Amino acid sequence: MNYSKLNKNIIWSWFTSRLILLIIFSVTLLGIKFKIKDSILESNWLVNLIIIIIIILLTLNALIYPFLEFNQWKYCITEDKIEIVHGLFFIKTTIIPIIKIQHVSMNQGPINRLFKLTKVTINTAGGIHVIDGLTVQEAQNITDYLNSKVITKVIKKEKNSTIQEELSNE
Amino acid sequence: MNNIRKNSMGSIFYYSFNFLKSLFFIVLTVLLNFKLWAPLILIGAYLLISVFYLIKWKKINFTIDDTSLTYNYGIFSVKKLIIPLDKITTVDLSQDLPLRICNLYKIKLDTGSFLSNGAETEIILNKIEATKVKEELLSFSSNELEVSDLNDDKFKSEIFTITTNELIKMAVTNNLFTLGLGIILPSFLFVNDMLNEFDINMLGFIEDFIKSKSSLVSNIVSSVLVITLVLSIVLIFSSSVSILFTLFKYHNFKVYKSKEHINIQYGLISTKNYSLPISNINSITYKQTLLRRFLKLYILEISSIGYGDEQKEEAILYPIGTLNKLNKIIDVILPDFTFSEEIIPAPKRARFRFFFPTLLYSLTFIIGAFFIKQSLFLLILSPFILLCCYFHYKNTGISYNTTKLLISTGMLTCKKTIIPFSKLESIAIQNNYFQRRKKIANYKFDFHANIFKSIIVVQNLDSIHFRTLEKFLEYN
Repeated sequence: MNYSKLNKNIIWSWFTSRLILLIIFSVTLLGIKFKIKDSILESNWLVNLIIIIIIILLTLNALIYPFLEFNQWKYCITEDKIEIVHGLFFIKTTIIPIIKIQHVSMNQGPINRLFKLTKVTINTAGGIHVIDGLTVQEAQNITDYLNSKVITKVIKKEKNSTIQEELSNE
Repeated sequence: MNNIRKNSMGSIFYYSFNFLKSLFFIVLTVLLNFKLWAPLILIGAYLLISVFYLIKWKKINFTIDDTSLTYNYGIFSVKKLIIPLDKITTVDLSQDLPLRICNLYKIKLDTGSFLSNGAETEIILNKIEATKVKEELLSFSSNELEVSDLNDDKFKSEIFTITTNELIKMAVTNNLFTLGLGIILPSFLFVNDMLNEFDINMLGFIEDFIKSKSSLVSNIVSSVLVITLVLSIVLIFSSSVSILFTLFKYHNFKVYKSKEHINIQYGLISTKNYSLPISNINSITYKQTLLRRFLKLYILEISSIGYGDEQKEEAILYPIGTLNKLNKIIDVILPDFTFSEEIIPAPKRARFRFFFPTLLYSLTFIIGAFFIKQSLFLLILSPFILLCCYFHYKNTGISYNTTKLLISTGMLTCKKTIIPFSKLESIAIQNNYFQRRKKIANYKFDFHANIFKSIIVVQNLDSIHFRTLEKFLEYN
């Protein structure tokens, strides 16, 4: 099976969005810490520890993890199924039969727009699956392909059932 | 067929009774005041409420035409609900105490939508009309179903009825202790309150009793005695309550198949009556709590849209039985779900993974607690945690043939779920570095079901099953 990789720009997209998260969180946490400094003299070290751990995790999340995640992200769309492999520590492999897809949508957030990337969301009756970091052209191709597949399969299924009905009527 | 129908007049009584029931404690306290005017006020209030509900009843009407059900309701703002008949998946007749007094039935509709818009309809009719409406509503749900067949004995399968023996077994093996505590504690407080009215201080009495025993030895002996006594009282009390409760709730439990529907009936005070299309059933589950494990008893549940969504209601197909009996029921009622393959347990090399993460988390928690409280009290929980991990390992397993999949999961409660591959929406495995080294993975099965239960996760199974399962999924 030949898997396709995501567009390289997604690293920068993840990096930017997580950096923004890091900045917002650190500023808020430090602000709160500064504000309530006097009333928590006894457990000051504990609060410091928690804040430091949160900030370290968020920094890792912004600076290191995008590269690791990119290396492990791959997907594959075949005749009858979609396979998505992704994850950081836990690598998750998902298989979705195309016949089970309810609808497919594309969306583009402000940061992704900056890097000319698009996200494809695949909805089944049970859940939502996402392929992030596709160029607009790729995403368009995938959505068109899946939509046409879904429609033809539905038509085929209806045809089958009508044929069966006719047979049973005879 | 475009005639406007109305609910039975008795529904006014039903509404007002339910309203009184929700205000039961206020009513009780008012009555306990022993004043003459209290009952008078109550009666006045009841009449006032009844007038309100009379208006509500006046505003409700519905029509059933060839394609849809139109339901008009609303006191201040008039609302109109139109449900296409072919979207109605389940129609249930149910009866509870106030309805039973008036000999009426309530019709519950389900449209298979997550936002169950059928729940807003309240159709309350007498038995003859209710069955008529039910048949009219169901006439579109399945093309092959002919209305007259519904009550035809010719299409009924063998009827499975529960015996009193089974009901008592079920009641005794229910989770007794929590139920008992749940009843005893409030009633203790209530009794204490009542006695306070008569200047008898029960708590003080107990304190005096303990203090009067001066020597330490007799103190320990007496406290042990008191504790065993209290525990046995709780147990006896709760089991008798549980037996009564179960006898009332599942009285005359009946399940049978009539053509393309499964019919389930039970209840003494509030009678429930369900008929579900078989094509809507997505999976069946054998559930077994720890206590029932020793007696080899199971509950059989089904997952079907429109059944078991109500509060505190379990989607039970048959409430209790040994594996043989339940398999026989499945053979007759749902032959598509019979499954007889051997279960492949989690591999031995995965044993460590079942214990390690849980133990790690609990240890961190205990150490954290030790730093804060300086006590090792929580350590007594560790045998329990180990037991949980052991049972988790024992309960985990998977099994499949070309059409169906059996997943066994759970810690203290073992759940064995059977899903046909055609109902699976997607499958996924997930594993971290340690799991990859041992070639094991967590499986996620996603199927179309009630919104909260739609994903089943099994931990630490051999990862080779994944590619085999992939071949069995439905692609066409």
